[in-house]
Amino acid sequence: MYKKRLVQFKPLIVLAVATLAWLMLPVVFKAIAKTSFYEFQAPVSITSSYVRDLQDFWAARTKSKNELYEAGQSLARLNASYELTALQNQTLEEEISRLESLLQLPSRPDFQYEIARVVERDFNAWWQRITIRKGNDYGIPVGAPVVFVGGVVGRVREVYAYTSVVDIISNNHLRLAVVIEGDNRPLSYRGGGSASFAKPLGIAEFVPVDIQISDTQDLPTLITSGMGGVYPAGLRVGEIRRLRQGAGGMFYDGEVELDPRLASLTEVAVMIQIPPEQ
Amino acid sequence: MISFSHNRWLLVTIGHYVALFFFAQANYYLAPLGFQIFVVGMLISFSAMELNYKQGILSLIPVSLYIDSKSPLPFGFSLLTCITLFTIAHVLRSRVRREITASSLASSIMLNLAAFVAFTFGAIHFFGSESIHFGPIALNLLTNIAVVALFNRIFFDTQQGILLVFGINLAEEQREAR
Repeated sequence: MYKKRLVQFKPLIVLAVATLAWLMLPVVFKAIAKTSFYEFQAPVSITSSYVRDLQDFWAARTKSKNELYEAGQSLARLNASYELTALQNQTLEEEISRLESLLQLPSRPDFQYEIARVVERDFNAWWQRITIRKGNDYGIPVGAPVVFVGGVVGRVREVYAYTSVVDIISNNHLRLAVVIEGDNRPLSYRGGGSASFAKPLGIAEFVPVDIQISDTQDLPTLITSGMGGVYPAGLRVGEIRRLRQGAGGMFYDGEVELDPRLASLTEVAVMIQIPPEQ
Repeated sequence: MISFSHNRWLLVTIGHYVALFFFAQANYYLAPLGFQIFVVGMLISFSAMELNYKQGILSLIPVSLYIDSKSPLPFGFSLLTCITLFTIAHVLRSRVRREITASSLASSIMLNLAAFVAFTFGAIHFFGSESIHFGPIALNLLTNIAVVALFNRIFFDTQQGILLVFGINLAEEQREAR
């Protein structure tokens, strides 16, 4: 009778023992287990992303010659305008370095851009992350800023052998030092989550009270300030859509609308800082 | 030679992993809408309703550690959540008629709901509640219930079919033996 009763409690005893054993397990063991499990399944994720690329390739093969010709023409136009912009950039960079040496200013950090394809998108009501197809094999460092054509994407959180995990700027725990374009007073930015069928959100803190939103067509744009040393100055973050009284009453808190393309990224650029001596 | 009957958890784990892989591919395309399919409860439900305690828990440990390795929550959070929900479901399974499809559907929905709530509280505890909005959470939850309701039968039948290919007929086994 006693034995039978004990058998009934066996699952609960196993659960209690397993929970205790897991909690007492050394952190090193857990870290090794996490990396091992991640790396074990990583080839499957990478392969699926290559399969998606192949799908795109075959989808492109179904296009007619006329469509391809038109696409080629528009690419040629785009290339011509980019060549012109590259030339202007080169002239401006030379001018900046001439002025910097004239004024004996400290040199700004230089970055190398590593373009990476998006393998997985982990966008839900709890957190927003992407996995990219480059990791230790391309020298991606933890904490490196990630950008795309619309501005800041986020920051590299975890780096594995062939992949890296990037936290998107709508994540609550991601903070940046920002300024409003055309205004040099520093503000603080943090992620504000993501809503279904809506754009990802952020929150700007310590917005000066003289900043007003009167025209919905001309919203104040947030850009990185360059402070903190992670992100270079001038990268677009988002637009302040709404202002409300901050906790202290001396500043506003602003609701920031981020780029809607953040949730459908296929390619991003990781900015790897080049040491000054190189 | 591996005895598949005594190591059926291995086949079930592979089935769970394949299901998670397909839903991860769907999530890639659903990301722009702000949805994510979350079907952990359905996997726990199969292991709890169709396997014995040892085989069930063994089938869930690798899958939950895989989920843990990809989640920003502390490593082991999914493991503890899954084995706790599995144990509760396993203890309570003798009170339901498992042969009825509705039982598996009800247990899958309830376990998925419980796992979703656990992950929500985990996210609030570890990342703060400021960026967690009620609207998207409720909408995601409703979507997940619909997805589980739609795929539960297919998932259970596929898993049972795979086991049958390896000579394990769950329907013919004694109720308490599995």
